[in-house]
Amino acid sequence: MMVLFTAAGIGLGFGSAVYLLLSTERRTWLIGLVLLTTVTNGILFLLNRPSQLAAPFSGAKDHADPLPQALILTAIVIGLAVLAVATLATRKEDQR
Amino acid sequence: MTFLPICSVVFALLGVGLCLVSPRRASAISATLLLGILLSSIYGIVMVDRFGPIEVVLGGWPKGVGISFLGDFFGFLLVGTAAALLLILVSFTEADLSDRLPMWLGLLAGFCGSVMTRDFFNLFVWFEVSLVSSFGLLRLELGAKGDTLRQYLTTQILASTAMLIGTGLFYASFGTLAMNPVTPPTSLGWTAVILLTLAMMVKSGIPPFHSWVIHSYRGLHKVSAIPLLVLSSKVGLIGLTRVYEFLPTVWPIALGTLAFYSSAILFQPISLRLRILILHTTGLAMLISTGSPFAWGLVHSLAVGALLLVISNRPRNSLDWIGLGIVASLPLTPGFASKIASISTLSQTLNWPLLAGLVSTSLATFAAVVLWASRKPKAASEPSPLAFALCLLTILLGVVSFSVLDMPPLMVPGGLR
Repeated sequence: MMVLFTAAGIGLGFGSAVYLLLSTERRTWLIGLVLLTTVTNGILFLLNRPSQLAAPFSGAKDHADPLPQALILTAIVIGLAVLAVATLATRKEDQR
Repeated sequence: MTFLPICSVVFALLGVGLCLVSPRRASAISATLLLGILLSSIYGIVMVDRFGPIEVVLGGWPKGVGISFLGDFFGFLLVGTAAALLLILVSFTEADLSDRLPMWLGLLAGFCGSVMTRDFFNLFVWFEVSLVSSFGLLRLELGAKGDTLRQYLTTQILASTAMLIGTGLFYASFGTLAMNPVTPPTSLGWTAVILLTLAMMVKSGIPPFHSWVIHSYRGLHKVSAIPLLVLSSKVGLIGLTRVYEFLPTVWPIALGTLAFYSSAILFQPISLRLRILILHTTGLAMLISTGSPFAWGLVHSLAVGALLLVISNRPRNSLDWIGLGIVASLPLTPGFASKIASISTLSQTLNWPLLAGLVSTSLATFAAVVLWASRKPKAASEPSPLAFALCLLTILLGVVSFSVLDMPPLMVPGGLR
């Protein structure tokens, strides 16, 4: 049931994001951009699983895989940078 | 010596920072750092020729998990060429470029990172570095032409999203982000590869995903269009060559055929279109029937020759010359499979006939673009004798150079690989 809810949520999120991105109004378009980034990070979050690699200091193997978390963190930072540039790049349209 | 693959990226990023801090000296800073990148690339080529490819894994992480760079012959060659091109532009352009130079160097940093990296997530990161710089450059060039810029942003962001999800699924399927996993793909892995392929095709503007390229480049200053054309769209192509390694040979042929036919439909008159398609289909039939390396080279050359005919025969006003230049520089053909094989061969060793063939073919295409751009608007419908000569030269050079390759056989028992 949880899988169904998650899949439905991601599908709904993607659909809404693409719908908003097609809008001609700048503010709606930016909201679409934020939503798209968030849903994508949600998908990456689902990829987590127990790590196959030994922990660097203790040598334990039953810990969470750090790589998807690193991917999400980097993706958040990049998404924020792209959002900032997109906001600035499209700014003058509304001012005219 | 291990610093060489990272050198170009560090220099380019340093240039971005210094140009932003000191815009008055941007030209001098850029020229110096571009010269540094060019020299380090030449040194890298010499080192690769002597000791083989240079691999660096940052932070001591295991292979396939951490950040890894690989400097091979082709990578250094690409980076050096890009740096040389920008250096020429910076040195000889009379226009004031001080506000554009940080964007150019940002594009170059993304390009260098994409060429050198060997894992998909870092490829995504460098793509985004390149993307943010191209946003800035387009904003400076196009001003507040909202629709064009927003279309560009939307297309690129959707492609980036597909790439990020593809990268995540790739890791979930293979357990690594390295570009050469040893396990065969599962159904999840195939989904990842398809998503990555689609993202790269959009980013490189390969037909039928090319409409945004022509739309975005229209109205761009010629000087700025060159770095954007060379660095931004070629980054997508580099990504495509990495993804193609996971696909059976028939895939690049199918995608290349789709791209070629969809681009051929754009051109008028119908007789010209038919001529291209016949030429191309003949080559394709030969490739499928013989499956030899010679046929691979022949298909590639025939297709490039057909493209030259298109370019030389096209009236000047109907399509922006920059747009056509972009289309002309893309691997539209099933011969792209042979191009990938040649790139992987060049990555390992310096093969002079192959390199000469690639460079000559590119120069012939470039010459045809220049020839076409310099023609009068009311041009004759038949190609000029010079275009025919270029076409024949390209076919000859392509066949000679590609036939020396030791390519994998296309046909295996039971059909295409």
